[in-house]
Amino acid sequence: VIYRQVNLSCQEDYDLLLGSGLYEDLVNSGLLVCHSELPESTLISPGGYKIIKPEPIPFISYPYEWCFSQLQDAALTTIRILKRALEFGMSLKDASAYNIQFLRGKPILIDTLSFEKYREGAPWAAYRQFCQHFLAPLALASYRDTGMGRLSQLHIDGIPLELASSLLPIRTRLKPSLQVHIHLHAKFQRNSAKQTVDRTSSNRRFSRRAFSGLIDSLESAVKGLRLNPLKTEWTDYYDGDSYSQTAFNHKIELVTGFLNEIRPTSVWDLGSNTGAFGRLAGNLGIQTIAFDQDQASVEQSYKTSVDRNETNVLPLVLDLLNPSPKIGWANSERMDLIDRGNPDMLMALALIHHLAIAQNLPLGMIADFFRTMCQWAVVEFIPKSDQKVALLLANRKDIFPGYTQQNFEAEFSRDFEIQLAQRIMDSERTLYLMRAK
Amino acid sequence: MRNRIGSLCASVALIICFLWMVTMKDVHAYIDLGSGSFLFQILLASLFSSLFVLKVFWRRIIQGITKVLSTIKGQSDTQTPRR
Repeated sequence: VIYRQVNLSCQEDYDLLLGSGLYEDLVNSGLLVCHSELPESTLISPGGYKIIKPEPIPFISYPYEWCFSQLQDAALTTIRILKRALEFGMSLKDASAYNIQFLRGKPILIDTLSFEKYREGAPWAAYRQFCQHFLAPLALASYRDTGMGRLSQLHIDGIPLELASSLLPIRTRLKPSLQVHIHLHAKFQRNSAKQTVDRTSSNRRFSRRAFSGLIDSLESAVKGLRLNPLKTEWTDYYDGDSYSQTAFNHKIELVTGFLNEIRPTSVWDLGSNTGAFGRLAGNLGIQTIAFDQDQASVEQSYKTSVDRNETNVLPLVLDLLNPSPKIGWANSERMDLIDRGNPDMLMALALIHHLAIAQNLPLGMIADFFRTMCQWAVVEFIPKSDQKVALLLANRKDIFPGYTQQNFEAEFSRDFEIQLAQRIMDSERTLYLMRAK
Repeated sequence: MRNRIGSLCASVALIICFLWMVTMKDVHAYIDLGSGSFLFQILLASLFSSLFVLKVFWRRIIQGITKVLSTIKGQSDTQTPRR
């Protein structure tokens, strides 16, 4: 549970947010997280005005873990909130992507204290932040590579516009929105950085009309960015020759059976691909995070979630071999994966052979890692005789004599108690239900 | 003699480097990029303002055309004899 103190310096803006009806409007529209106020006696430090308790977010995710469409939706949500705020005489003083989280399948603003009174004539205070946190990574993903999103992990206050400008191809200079908001913006920032600006000066006017024009222009810029149709070796994994229909159906039946038996409160599906199996948990009302390292698969999974209006599945990009670390000031501004709450159940379907053979990870280490995260695990073991494992070993020397089903069971039994082991029909694969020791 | 000239050159080079460092104008840590963004918006205020006016104007034209078309369609529907 998180408590936030509203200081006296923000009293006017906080009161206006609630008094103007903007808070109610945004909460009812599902755009702002709701909160309750605590008694005055709970104030944490002098200078405090109120203590608020926002609705908890089940899982905090970060922009560098989102696929393109998630970041785009988060950007458009920020713009939508700003437009709504203007109607109520308020504005956003922050446009950080970290202020947006995914709750019940939709992006939502979690920073109740981001609002300030709109002052006629003043430009948008968060313009630079919006360009760095949203527009620059989206443009880089659209014009360069979807993997550029990880740059946001290096630059915690968004990708510097100068860097984005230098990385974007020359043809983006012909796109007016990117030429203005990234290239010219970056150049101007550099050239005028030494100037002292009196931001309250009445000589410098930025009319309400100009403000609205700026927001519209940013909205068009974000909407105008597209991701080239992505097709990787993973996006058609289930359509390929990985499974027979009988095996696929039986696997669904087994996983559903395990979920119904254990009824976990939360599930992490590691290596979820396009989320077909994680979705089984989501459909049962279980909070599910579907992780995969492949951007295209996560993109497909997110679009499926949006199309089906799913509220329990959150697809995220995660490289299990290099999961999100603790970053920021004192290594504590952004949490690592493990610190963000452990799931009740972990699913690792068709994953172990990639970790053990493609990535040379000992089975015991994989089991240890899983054990640190969950109470229950559903793990699939695929023997060397399976065509997919054979493919992994096709062009390399088999230095994995320990990769056997017997050894797998022995290594996992040190951390887990194997409750059930079911052979998947029409395949050589086995599905295990395990309980942490 | 050669050593003296060498050390003199080195000293001059060091002094030049030192002077260059102390007089260098772009010290990144002191650059406020936010000011640039602030001024940039002011500079482009007329552009954003015009874009907004154009958008509103365009929307009105579209609304007008849609209204006229729907009126014409409504009239033609009422004039069509029933069979």
